Formats: sequence, structure tokens, C-alpha cells
Amino acid sequence: MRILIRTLEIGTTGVAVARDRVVDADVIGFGRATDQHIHCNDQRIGLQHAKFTRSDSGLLLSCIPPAQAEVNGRLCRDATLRVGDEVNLGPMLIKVLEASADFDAAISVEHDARETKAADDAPLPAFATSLEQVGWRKRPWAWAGITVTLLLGLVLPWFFVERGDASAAWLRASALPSDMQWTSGPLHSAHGNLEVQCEACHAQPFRRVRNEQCLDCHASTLHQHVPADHPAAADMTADRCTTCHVEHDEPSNLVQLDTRICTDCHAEPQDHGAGPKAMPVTDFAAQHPDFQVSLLTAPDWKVTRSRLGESVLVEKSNLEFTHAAHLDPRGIKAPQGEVVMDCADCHTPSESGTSFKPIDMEQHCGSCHTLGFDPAEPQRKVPHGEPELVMQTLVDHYSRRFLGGYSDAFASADGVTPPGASLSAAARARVLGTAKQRANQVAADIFERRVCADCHTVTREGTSNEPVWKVAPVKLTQTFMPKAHFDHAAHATGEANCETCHAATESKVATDVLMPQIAVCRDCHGGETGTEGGQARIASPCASCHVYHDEQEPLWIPVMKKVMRQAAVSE
Amino acid sequence: MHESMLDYAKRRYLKIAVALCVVSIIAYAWHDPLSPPNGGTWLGYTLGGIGAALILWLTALGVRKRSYSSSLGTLRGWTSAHIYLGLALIVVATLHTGFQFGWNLHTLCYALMLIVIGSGIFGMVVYLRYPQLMSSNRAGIKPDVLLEEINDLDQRALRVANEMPRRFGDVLRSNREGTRVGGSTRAILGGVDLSTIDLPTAGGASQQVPNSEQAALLDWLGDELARSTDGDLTKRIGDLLSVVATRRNQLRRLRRDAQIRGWLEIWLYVHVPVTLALIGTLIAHVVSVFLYW
Repeated sequence: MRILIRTLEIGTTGVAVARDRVVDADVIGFGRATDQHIHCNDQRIGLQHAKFTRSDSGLLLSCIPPAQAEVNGRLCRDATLRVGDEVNLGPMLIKVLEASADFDAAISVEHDARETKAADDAPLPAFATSLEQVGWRKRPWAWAGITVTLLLGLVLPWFFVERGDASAAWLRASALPSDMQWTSGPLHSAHGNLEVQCEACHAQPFRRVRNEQCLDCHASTLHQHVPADHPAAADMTADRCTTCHVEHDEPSNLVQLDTRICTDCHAEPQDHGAGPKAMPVTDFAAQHPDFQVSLLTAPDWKVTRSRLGESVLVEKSNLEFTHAAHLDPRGIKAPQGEVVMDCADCHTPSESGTSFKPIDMEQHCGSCHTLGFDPAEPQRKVPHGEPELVMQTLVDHYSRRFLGGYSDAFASADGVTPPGASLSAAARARVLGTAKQRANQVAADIFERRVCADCHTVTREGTSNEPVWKVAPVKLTQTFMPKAHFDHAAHATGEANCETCHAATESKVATDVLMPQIAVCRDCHGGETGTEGGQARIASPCASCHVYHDEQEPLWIPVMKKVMRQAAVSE
Repeated sequence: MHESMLDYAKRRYLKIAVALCVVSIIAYAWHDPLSPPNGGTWLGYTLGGIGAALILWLTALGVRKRSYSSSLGTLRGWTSAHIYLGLALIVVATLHTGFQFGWNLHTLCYALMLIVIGSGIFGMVVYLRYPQLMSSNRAGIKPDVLLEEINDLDQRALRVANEMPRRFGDVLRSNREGTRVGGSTRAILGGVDLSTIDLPTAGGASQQVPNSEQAALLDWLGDELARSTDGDLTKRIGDLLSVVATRRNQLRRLRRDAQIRGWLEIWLYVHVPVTLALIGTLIAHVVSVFLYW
């Protein structure tokens, strides 16, 4: 097909300029692609939008779907064109011209004049297709975000804190956000009363909590770990209370149970000024020396420290006693017959149950070991006291009896003074002499053979006519392990009894020390991790038995001394 | 193949982020402070410092993004680092807390950080997926061209209506005025069509009815077609139906385009303001911690 294409363009002068070109092809393409014969650079037009071919009846237009054309005002996809037909394709208007004999067809291509006119019609409404167009904003919310958080989270509480404790307290009580929002975790229940008094500890802004704040409450009860002149004291001057006692943590860690608190120094004690005898400790299960016991030792009752297991320890209490005999399962002779005893008959728990009340002769021994001496008057007893008092009691007793008509085997030789009879001075002296003799005889018996001698070491001194007895004093060790805390009540689990730790039934002498060695504890207690040799044990850090603040050691850190001085002055 | 921001520089920043997480986790596992793990131990301060520095640096992307003349790394590099290090921040900040949470400013700071990161993850997902959806929907035609095309269709329809009874022109003009794309958050994000049209009623007056997907208009034209006895009019109604159907398809594409753009943007309206709230809270957190040391 040989076709004339006349392009009409409005030139710069406003006059339409026609440019003719001749194309010889079977198919004339119309589209946006550059290889199209009729090229239209408009986005609405497809790359290949439509094509013109020749048919017997004339020029044939076919649009490539989905494209459509408007032919003489009618929409269509395919059309057979005749001279004078107008085809509207997007912005272009194509008219079919009368072709001369040289050409099979002729068309003109121009911009559709209606295209510009269309804008005059009702415009499409402006579409709000972006979020910003429907009111979304970032910037104001961003500014609000940073302003509100800074104001409520920092500026407001800080302002009230700076104004003083009363202002801060007012804000905390109000519904406004206060410095309470700064708390990073709960306080330990022991400090619960300080929950809304931040300033009690946080006294100065941007300063770490200082010892003074702790001492405000604790000065009178606080103790040091070692005396001020201890070589290790220097290691501790830099420590603050809060080094160990940290608040606002979950789980609460107010009481420091970490073994390192101790082993930092005690793993290598000599490096921290300890003497050569101090032994290293790293863990209760792994490395802990054998227990030492404190023993009161006759005759001067000095406390001696001895290590269990190193040698056979002897408790020099001057008591004559045997646990084995008292705990004989077949029973032991008592005034009321055979009695089977157990530990609790003598060892009664203290109020707290952690330890035991001291052994008391009258309460614990006296029910069996009565101090009676006269079968005729069994209620009459000698006092449990000095030998002189015992002698006085005996002389008094027998004088009264002999003067009052008393009869016994010893006195019958001299006859009986009848009741109510008055004696001459000589007879009275003779009876009293007999009574004194009788008292000496009974004293020798109870001091040397029964009653006193059952439990005490007694020596006889003086003359044969005026004998004097000395009873060695008895003192029992009340606390064998004063450097550790042991709670007997906590160990009354039903799985353990006294015998588990104290081999009393086998103890045949009073000098036996019945304190258990560390191996006994390790049967149940592991170290910090609660294991020993891979077996599960009760986790036992140092603080299970030991305390850091030694009750014997007063405060000595200078700042603490200052607080103490101030306290003393104010009193 | 197009290298996504995730694969930038052979995932250099992924490696850095993973290394940061691994080092933090190992340090946390190895660290055994006297107190329970918390932000106030030396490791806690270290992780907190790294976390705060990361937050400020990640925020700097917003500044770098606007600075077209900057030669400080490519924007794609920054975005890649922003994503990976932002994700690593979850690990660093969580370890900084020592897993101690409460109703306080410090946990609020942590929660805001998670909201920012969470919205960022959402943004990353839509950025990886939606641009492809957008270009397949547009099929190379920009929204303003689509608008032009709709304009064109409207002119064409009005020209057809000029040869028809007056009510056709009125209905088409009302359709043009009542056409909506977007118009509300729900309409944009849900792709909802809020268009309306005034249709003549039996009484002669006209009534505004919803015209979602041009359905009311197509129905009305269908009714007219069924009633028409005039062959010429019938042909013209058929022409109009064809134009309106095409118009509906183009509007659908415009609406889908707005919907995709909406989802591509919406997370930023959370991400950016909450980032600023996070920075305010972060400042309050750091200052208050030392104020009440």
C-alpha cells in the first residue's frame, strides 16, 4: 500500500504547516513506539495502538485491544474508512483525504482541537490519594513526642525535686508523673517505708548514694568486719555500703549472698594481711578448713580455739559426767525408778530455737540427783553451793535434831534427849559436840562418796577433826562455734536427729567434745552452687553460716566515726 | 538482578550486626556481677552506651536521607546498615535491661524502642514487596497519565451523550463530579471507593447514590439499554457502557496505586514520631538514672 500522510502542525507563527510524506508498506502502524509510521508521544496511546491496512472496500482501521478509536463520533475497534471520515485516537485527529491516482490512500494527522477545549468542561475533583492529603502529619507528632516525654519524664519531676522534699512529696501524692517513675525496681521489704521517700537515700543529685544516708538509720547497729588496726582494713575503706547492698533490683539482692564477697580476700588470706595460721577458703564444698571449736578450759577458763580432727580434743570443764550412761536405752536409776532419758530432758531449746538454754543443775540434774542426806528427813537438802554452806547446813540440821530428841544409830549411845526437857549447859554442849561429829561424818560421805562426788571433783583438806572440802568449779562451754551461725530449729527436719551430728550415746567421759566435723555438714550441704562431686546438695554460700558485720567490731571508717560523734553530741 | 538494600555490599552490615549480637550475648553470659544483671553494672553501662549511640545514629538516617548532596556513604548503604543495626539493637537493649522490667520510665523507653523497631520491620517488609506490586499495577503508566486518560474518556463519553437525551449528559457530568479516589484513611488503605452519582428518579428529581466501582452508573445504563427501542440510541448506550467500563478499570488502578502508596507510607507516621518520643524518653532515662545514682 502506498499512502500519503499529511501532518498538520501549528507552527511558531500560529499558522498550520502541512508536511507530506509517502509511506509504502502493507501495514501502517499508529502508536507510541518509535517504529510506528504515525508516531504519537502520548502516555494514553499504547506502543502499538492501531493499524491501517488496505481492503477492497477501502482503508481498514483496526485497534489493538484494549485500545479504541472514535470514528465520526462513534466508538469502535475496527472500521472501514471512507473519504471524509474522522478518526479520533487519543490526542490525535486523523482525517481520510481524497487520494490522487499515485496513492492507494491519503490521510491527514493533526492534534485534536477538542483536546484543548475539553479542559474547559467540569474538571475532575482533586483526589486525596496520599495520607498527607487526608490529614496525616509526622512533624507535629514528632515534636509533641519529644516535648511531652522530656517534660513529663524529666523536667517536671526534676523541678519539684529541686524545690525541696515537700514539693517532691506533693508531686508524688498527685496524679502527675513524679520522680516515682524513675524507680528502676522495687525496694527490699526492709526498706518499704522509704518507697516514697527517694531523698532518704538519693540526697544529692548526680551523687551516688553515700554511707551517711545508710547510717542515718543504721549507725547504732552497724559493725565492721575487722578491727580498724587489722591489715585488711585498708582494703575496705574504699567500699561503700552500696558496694554490697544494692537496691531496686529484681530479685532483691539487699543481703549479699555471693561467695566472692568473702573469697575475694579469704581465698588468699595472706595476701590481705592475715597471719600464717589463716587458711584459704574458696567454697564450702571445695575448700573450707576443718571447724575450730572454742573451749572454756579449767582452771582459768580461758577460751582456747582447737581444730576438730587434728587431735582428740578434751573439754576441761571439771564435770564428772557421761552421756552414754544417761542415754542408756535400758534406762538409768532414778529416785522414781528406772528412767529412759533423751537429749531434750536436759537440752531445752532457747526462745528462738536456734540454740539451747544453759544446763541448770537444779532444773536438769536435780530431779534425780537430789541433795538429800538424811534418810529420816528426805526433804532436807544441802544447798548446791559452797562447801562451807553445805557444812553449815549439816551442823544446823544435826544440832536441831539432837537437841530436839532425835534418835538414830549414831546418837543412841548417848541416849535421847526427851522432847521438852531442859538440858544443863554441860549436857547441851555434849549433845552439840555429838551433832558436829555426826555432821562431819555425813559431810565426808556426801562430799567423797555420793551426792557431790557424783558430778564433782572434790578434794579433802584441813585436819581430821576439822575437815574442809574443796569442790573444783564447773563451767560448761555454751557456744562451741561462736564464729558461725547454726540454727538447730531449722535442722529439725525429721530426717536428722541429735545423734546425726552429736555422737552422745557413745560418749563415756565428760571430756569428750561432741561437735560434728565439716564432713557431717557436707553430707547435706554443698558449696555456692549446691553440688558436691556432681551430686545435688543444699546450696550453701558463706553467708549461710557467717556474717560480714562482726558484732564484736565497732564502726571505724572515718565518715562513720563522724556520724557516731554527731550522734553522741546530740544525745 | 536488582540488589536489594538487604544484600547491599554482600550483606556487610548483616555481618556487623550479627557480630555485635554475638559479642553482646557472650559478654552477658560470661558476666557474673554480684548483683542480678542490670543496667548499672559495667557491662550494663557498656551495652546501654552502645544502645543509646545506635539509637542516635539510626535516627541520623532521617537526616542523611534528606541530604542529597552528602557524600557520606550511599543512601542504600545507610538504609542497609539502618535495618541490620536497628534489628541488632533489640538484642543489645534487651541485654542492657538485664530482663528487669517494670512500670517505670526505663521500661517505657524500652517499649517505645520496640514500637519503633516493630514499625521499622513493617516498613522493611512493605518496601521489599510493594514497589513491585506498584509497578505491576501501573504497567508503565503513571497516575497522572491515568488521570488524563480518565479525563479523555469523560470527554469522549460527553461527546457521545451530546447526541443523546439530556439525562445522559447530566448523569455523566454528575458521575465525573462524584468520582473519588482515596478521600479518607480508610478509603486509601482499604482501597475503598467513596464515589457517588446523582441518578434521576421516577418522580423526575435526582438522587445521590453510592457509585462504588461505577456500579450504579453501569446498572443505570443497563436499564436504559433494556428500555431503549431506538436503534441509534441503543448503539450509543452501548458505546457509553464500553467507555464507563474502561473508566472503571482505570479508576481501579488509580485506587490500588493510592492504596499501595498508603501502605508504603503509613508506618512512617508511627516510626518517625515515636522515634522522637523515644529520644525524649532516652534523655530522661539517662539523666534520671544519674540524677538518682
